Amino acid sequence: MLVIKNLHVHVKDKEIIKGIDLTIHAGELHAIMGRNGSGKSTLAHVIAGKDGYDVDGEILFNGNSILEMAPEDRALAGIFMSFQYPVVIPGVNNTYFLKAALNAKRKANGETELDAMDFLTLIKEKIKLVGMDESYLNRAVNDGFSGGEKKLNEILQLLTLEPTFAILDETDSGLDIDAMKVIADGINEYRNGDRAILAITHYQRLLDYMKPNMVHVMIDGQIVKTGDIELVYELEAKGYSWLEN
Amino acid sequence: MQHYRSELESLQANGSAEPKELSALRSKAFSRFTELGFPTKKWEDWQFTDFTPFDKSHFRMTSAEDMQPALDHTIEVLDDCYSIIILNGHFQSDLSNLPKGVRILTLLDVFMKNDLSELVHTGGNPFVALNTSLMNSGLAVEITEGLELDKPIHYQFITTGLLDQVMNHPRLIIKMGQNSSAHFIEHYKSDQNILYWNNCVTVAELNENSSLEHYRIQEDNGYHIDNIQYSLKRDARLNSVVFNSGTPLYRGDIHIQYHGENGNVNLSGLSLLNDKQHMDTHVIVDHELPHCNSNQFFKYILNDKASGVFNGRVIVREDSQKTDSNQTNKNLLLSDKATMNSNPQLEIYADDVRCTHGSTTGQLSDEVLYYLRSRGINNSMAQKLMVAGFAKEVLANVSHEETADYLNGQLKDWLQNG
Repeated sequence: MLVIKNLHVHVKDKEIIKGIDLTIHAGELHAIMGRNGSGKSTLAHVIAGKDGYDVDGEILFNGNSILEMAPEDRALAGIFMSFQYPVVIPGVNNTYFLKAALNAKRKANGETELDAMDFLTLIKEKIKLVGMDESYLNRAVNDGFSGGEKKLNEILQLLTLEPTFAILDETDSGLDIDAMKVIADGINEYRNGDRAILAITHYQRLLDYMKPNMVHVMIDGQIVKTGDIELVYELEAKGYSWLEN
Repeated sequence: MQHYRSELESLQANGSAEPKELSALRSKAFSRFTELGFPTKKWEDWQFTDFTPFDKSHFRMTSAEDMQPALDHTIEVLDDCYSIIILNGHFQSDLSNLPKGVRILTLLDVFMKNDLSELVHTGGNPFVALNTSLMNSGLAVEITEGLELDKPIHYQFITTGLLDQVMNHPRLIIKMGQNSSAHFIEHYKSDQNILYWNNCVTVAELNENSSLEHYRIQEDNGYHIDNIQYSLKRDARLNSVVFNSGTPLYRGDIHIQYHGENGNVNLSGLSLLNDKQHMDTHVIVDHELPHCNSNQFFKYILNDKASGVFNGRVIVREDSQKTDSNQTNKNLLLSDKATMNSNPQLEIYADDVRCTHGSTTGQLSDEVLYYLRSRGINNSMAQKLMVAGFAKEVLANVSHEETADYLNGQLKDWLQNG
């Protein structure tokens, strides 16, 4: 589904990603672990299409190069990113935003757009899955939401937009144990054999819930080690320093 | 200046039915106006606006003849409202409808009761002096004591069917009786391409424990100057929302005075500008008494080569303990060539008060734009969504649903065409 070949990324003159190769197939969940500043979030944003990076190499999504595509076109092609720091959008109603996003996708797929009533029926089903109160639908996007509520709102979007590929950028950070369980359940609800996930995380706990197919360790812009869930436990016990140099 | 003098002289000559005292008041106000002159760049509170067009143009006063072409105008009233219609400066009693307990007085009636001049503070504002001198339009609306109006009053000042450049100097007086409450929508609009000028003065007097929701919607195509003076007696409550989208040149002054304790004022404003529009708003909230609140929330959205000015001044005088005052001005620049001057001022002479103020001017956030686009919303729609969200924070203060719907619709049109 996603193939990354020899990816190098510079921000201004600084090289952040120094040659990454990664292949993720449908049905898989890959985890990327690593210290702060190792380039994990940059990798996520480069896939999602954020401005401001000089990118060399290739990223193919379902066989097509996406590097020249605008973020909205990548989203319409099926890529979604759950933000580490979801933004607050004052004055923009959460329901209105979610409906605009879903209808943009439906329109791109040649489906009819949902009207307000049909969308409301759908979103009330989805919000139950993440255990949020319906009142969050009538508030401005993430405005006054706690850290955990913002993350839940990201998962609500994931479940509503149903992309084929989801990047989860530290979706588990700043959550208490109960919230993490809800998030993990939401993600497992989303998973199926046609979809794939790239999860960036610092913690073992979320991965315990989600059972990744592969675990990669990033240090200084490179993937230095790849393994299975056992690697997570090893990192938990030994830290990252044994992988340096 | 000479032009305005001759307009005054012909008004005085034609208005032979007017009492001598009124004519004298006009002459006195005109002297004050000539003393002051039109504002120049040297006037601190007026320096960011070019008022030379008023000196150069030759607007004539509207006359009875201007009524005929205006009668074809299709009048739309907001749903579920009482209505006051003014066409080219002339009150249309047959097109208006008001409930029991709401009384309309002509300015002459008001003048004969001898409280016309004491209601208005000219201060150093030449446009107010000129309005007093040339006032040719307007009326007083009195809400009886204890009346709680079930529906808003939609006051429409319509300019239409003009053949040449005219001016009106309307004076609107809103008197809220004790314990009364009302929504009042003061609406200026036009379908004109010929330039004209409305130089308005609105005075709202809120008696004890009265409550006024005042929405001022300015959609003029000609120049628009307004001066709004609110005075609040004990326990009075004001929620005022101004919406400005029309006019190439706008100057608005809002002045709040408390005449009793426990007054509560909520002022907000949304100004939408494109092309070369210029809008200049000055607010003065004068806390002379203790235990009063004021809240200001003003936003500008500027596109193209538009320019805006916001100057908000809060004065908390020595004896005004327990004052609670907030002032926020946020401005959004949608173009590199748009400019904004924002100057919040706070003068505090009392010690036991809570006052905040803040001002920001900036462009749309790249982070938010990227977030929306990453959800499949295209760049243009994402920007519109963000601008609408920015504006809606002000429109949320409009509690009357039909008015809020109308303004949201006007905002949407502006976003589509602007």
